[in-house]
Amino acid sequence: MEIIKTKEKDGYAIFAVKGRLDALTAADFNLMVEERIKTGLDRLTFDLSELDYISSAGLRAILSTAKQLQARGGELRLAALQPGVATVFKVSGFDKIIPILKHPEDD
Amino acid sequence: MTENGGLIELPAAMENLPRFLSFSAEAATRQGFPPARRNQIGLALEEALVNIISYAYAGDRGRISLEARPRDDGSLAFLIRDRGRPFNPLAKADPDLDSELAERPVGGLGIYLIRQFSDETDWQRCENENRLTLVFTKP
Repeated sequence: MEIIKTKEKDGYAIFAVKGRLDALTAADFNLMVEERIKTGLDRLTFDLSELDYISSAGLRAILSTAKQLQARGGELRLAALQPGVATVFKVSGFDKIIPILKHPEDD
Repeated sequence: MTENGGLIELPAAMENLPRFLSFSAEAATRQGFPPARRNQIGLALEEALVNIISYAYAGDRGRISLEARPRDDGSLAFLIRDRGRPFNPLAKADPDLDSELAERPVGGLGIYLIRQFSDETDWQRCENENRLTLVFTKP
């Protein structure tokens, strides 16, 4: 699992999240996200086009990031989900609480 | 045991999760499951195994056995056994999927995902073991 900042657009910092977000990687993911948002970033878009797999541990990490940003008046958006990952989000009802974009640079 | 079956038994530790999951992925591949369904099988098993690793032995080092049982109808059953405290994951209530972001509890989704991605589930406590069976059919 890795997180790479790709660019900023319309006030959102875009990060590519790659690999697997699961019970083994969620703690690292949380640390990496903390590190990046403590600099004051509060509007993020996670580009998930190269995220191959997510389990409930990954969902928890995403939800906790979204809550933190919302509490600061910011927002988390997700983009470009692979079909398997999209199914997990839909089944969990996350597609109703976190904005999901087709492309990371969409409005 | 049929020829595609098999069993792996390892200490209930997070570091062994990849070995359990490659065992199940290989069993699903041999049984002819397509990649997308194999991912869902891996997901359901990850959730079940992580639960046992995290809670069954309350800090003591116990073991988990995972057995693959291919069925003649093309489906694949997994039997997961541990000797930890009695716990029926299937008895857990579904999480609230309708609340807004700020109110949504962080967690509680693992067992729900097991139920969503398995076609058949069963839990029994016998001979001091938790025996969880998850059955997967092809799409």
